[in-house]
Amino acid sequence: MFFANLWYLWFIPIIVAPILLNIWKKQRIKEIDFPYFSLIQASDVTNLTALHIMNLLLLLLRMLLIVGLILFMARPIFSGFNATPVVTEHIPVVFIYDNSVSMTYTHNGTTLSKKARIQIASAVKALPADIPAGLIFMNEQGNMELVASRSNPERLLYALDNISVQYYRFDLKQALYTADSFFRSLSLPLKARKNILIFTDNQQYNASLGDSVDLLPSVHVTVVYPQKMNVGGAGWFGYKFSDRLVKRGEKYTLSADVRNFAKHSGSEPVVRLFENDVLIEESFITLDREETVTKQFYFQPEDDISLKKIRCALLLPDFDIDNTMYLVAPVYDTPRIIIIGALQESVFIRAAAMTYFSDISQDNLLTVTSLDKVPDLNAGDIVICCVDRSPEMDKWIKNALSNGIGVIAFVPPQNIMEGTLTSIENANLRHPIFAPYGLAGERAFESIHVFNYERDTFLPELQNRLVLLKTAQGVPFMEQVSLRDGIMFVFYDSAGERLSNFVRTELYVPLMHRALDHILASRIGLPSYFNRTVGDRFVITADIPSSVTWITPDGTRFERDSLFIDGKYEISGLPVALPGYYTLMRDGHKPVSIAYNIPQGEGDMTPLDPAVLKRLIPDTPTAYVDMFAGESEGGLVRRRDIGIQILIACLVVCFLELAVANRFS
Amino acid sequence: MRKYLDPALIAQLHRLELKARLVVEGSLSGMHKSPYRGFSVEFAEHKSYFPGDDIRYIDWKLYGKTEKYFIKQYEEDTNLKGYIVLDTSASMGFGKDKLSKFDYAGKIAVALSYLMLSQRDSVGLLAFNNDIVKYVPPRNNMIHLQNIISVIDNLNTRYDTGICKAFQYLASRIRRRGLIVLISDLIDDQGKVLNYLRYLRHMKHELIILHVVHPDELELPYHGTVRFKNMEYSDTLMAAPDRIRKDYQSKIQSFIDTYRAGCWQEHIDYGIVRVDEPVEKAVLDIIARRKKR
Repeated sequence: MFFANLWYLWFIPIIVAPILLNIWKKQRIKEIDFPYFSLIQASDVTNLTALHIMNLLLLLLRMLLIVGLILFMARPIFSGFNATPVVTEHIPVVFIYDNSVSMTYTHNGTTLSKKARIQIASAVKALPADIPAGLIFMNEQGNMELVASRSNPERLLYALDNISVQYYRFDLKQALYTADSFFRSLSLPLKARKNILIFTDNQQYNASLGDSVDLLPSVHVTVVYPQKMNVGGAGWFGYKFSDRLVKRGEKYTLSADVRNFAKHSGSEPVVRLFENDVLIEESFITLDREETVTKQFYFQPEDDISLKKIRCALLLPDFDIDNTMYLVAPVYDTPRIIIIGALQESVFIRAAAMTYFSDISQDNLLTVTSLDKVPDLNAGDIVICCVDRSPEMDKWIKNALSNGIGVIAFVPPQNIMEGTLTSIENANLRHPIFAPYGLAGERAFESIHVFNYERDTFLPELQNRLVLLKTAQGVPFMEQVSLRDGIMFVFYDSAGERLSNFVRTELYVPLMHRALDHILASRIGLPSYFNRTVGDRFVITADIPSSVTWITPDGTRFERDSLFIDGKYEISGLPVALPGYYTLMRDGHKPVSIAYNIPQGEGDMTPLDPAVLKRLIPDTPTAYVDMFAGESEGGLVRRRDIGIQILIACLVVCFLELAVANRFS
Repeated sequence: MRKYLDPALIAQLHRLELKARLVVEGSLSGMHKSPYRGFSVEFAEHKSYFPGDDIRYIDWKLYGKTEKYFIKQYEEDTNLKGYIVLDTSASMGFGKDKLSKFDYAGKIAVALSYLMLSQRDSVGLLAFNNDIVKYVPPRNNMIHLQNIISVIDNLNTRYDTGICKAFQYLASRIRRRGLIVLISDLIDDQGKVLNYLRYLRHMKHELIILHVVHPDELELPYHGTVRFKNMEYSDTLMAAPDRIRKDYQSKIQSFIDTYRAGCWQEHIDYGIVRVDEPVEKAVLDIIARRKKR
């Protein structure tokens, strides 16, 4: 229990006033020697005992009235941990507050983060001042930060008020290590109990990562999370916008990928595109769980929009979060795609191209049956080649590559062992085209099945090659081959259904799309970091920036330097509290602005499964409390302001006092 | 003496006389009718002369007509023997801050004594509480008044009231019919007191009951919480007078009415004397009441 206006309790000594008054009145009682005593006695006199009782009752009522009024003014608020067996008020405690984006999900009229804050604040207020306590949350760099108190829990409240939502995945493991370090620093007896209260929506992802965490044996963990949300797991829509504008004629296209991370499909997010704060276009999106939709905007800006801020926003009905993303997009023209060979009938390539280039037309998408029918190529064209291997073909492709033509080649391997299937089990996930599969990892490719084949290398004389996908036998399935300005993606497949099921999997279109996109991005000089995946750093492999400026939406500029580490230039520790963009200055190049998206790391929103969390802290006693259980039904913290009840009680006592006093007199 | 009789009161009393309403027996001729026939102014009857009778009272005129000796008999005026029965119980001490009931009763006793003595009646005093405190036999000289005053002056109010005992004592001492004036607040067993009053009346005594009351006793003018103490016993009682006033007033009125009715039935002169009224008024009221009869 605590008092909202504690200083009113100084008035408590007033309670002696009625006692003094009573004593004074007793001394003041007139004593009269009276002759007709028997007549007085025979009158309707309340007997002496009753009179004493009444007097005492009156005294008690007056004292109660004073106490009640003082309490009413002091406003006692009952708070404390509920009957959760592992939590009591007199034990050192660390509150781990998940301040990731997903905690902004709205449930029962409030967001998870607000609910968690209220509960943490109540719990902190309920703590005695001399109990060590800590608050762990994610700072702007995505690292765990601890605010500790040994004798002043108010510090925690102050810190709690200033915690903002961070666009990172909350690293529970790191938070637990931080809490453990805090407890170790207290020099408490090893057996002295310590509590960790985790306020989170889910930690499925963290819990499933790597080794378990060994906490002090005396630590007890209580996980406060939304147990009863009826959405099949809290979730949210991740989104990103394409990092370039594609120009065709006077119009531009911009695509936005929106993904529903295990959320119910009821509410529809709205994607909006603004130019100079003017809404250009908006689109309602309906998504099922785990589904990603790419929405393309096709618009004509007022003037040249390169290096101009385009504002994109995703309005999520269930989230209390500013999803606005500022974007400065480079511009390039719509490419011409020439399909050679067996893919000519495939609608998938068209789909892959149109997914990205909404303005693709017959002029931009040519299909030919053989190499000799290929028209003259221009720099900027992309060839998708699916013809049988021959020395002519090898020569032709090498020539195209050296001329800066992008190629996607489907090359059937030489020795196929039909009858024995294998799968893709190794992927170079650091490659930008696999950025969307960063979360799923290599499992994303498990749906591809191919017949076993012996290792084959297409154009082995080209040295600059990178294996992107391998089969279970370690044989390359997909490679990237570079020659001068040309980039080629090689699939050891027939691009039909003869050797593998690749073209029938859900991966086919996105991979083709991203391959096309990567070729284009490479051609216009965009470094690989353009395919950003996470927000806390990006790596420059080829270029050497002289400086990087981070510009937030309000125009604040932060100069960043690149560091040469392990043969790469890495820019890290970026202020990503808000989305913004970089201006990259390179020697001999024009400044390039790069949008910096909200990372999509957060969003694995399947409900928290205690069994999974148990794998993270297998040796620590763990209790689970529903964040949204009613305060009287066993929520973590009870908090009851009984001011109104006290006031009513005061009125009742006052009424009783008047009634008794009236009867008494 | 001045405490009891101031000159103004004496001047008023001079013009008054306290007549016995009934015949009384006395040894001196006075202003009251005596049951004894004798030689006085007012003719009563004739009786035959017997040797030894005073020949001065032979009616010679009748002898001339009848030639028999008759003695003229007259209604004799005799002197009154009055007994002031004064209550000195503790309850009579009520009202000390101004004028206690006892002080007031003492003044009335002295005034009546003076009145009776001044008309050559004898007056005695019996002071009592729950026992006989002092008895002063009746005398008819003025010096006796000083004696009575000095006795009253030395009386203290204490103990409870024993009116019946006083009457019993008095009845055993009085041989002849006389006037008994009881000055008391009558806080005693009402039934017994009324029985004794009847008994005294049966003995042909004339009775005057002066019920001395303090206005506070009638009105109960207290407020708040009051601890009432019994003046004659050690009882206490907490009460809120405001709450019980009406009930109390009706009870004391009933108490008074019981005495008044009982006295009226026995032809006893009963009067309330309030201590907030002047003594002379109380005495005048008594005399006025008696003149009416």
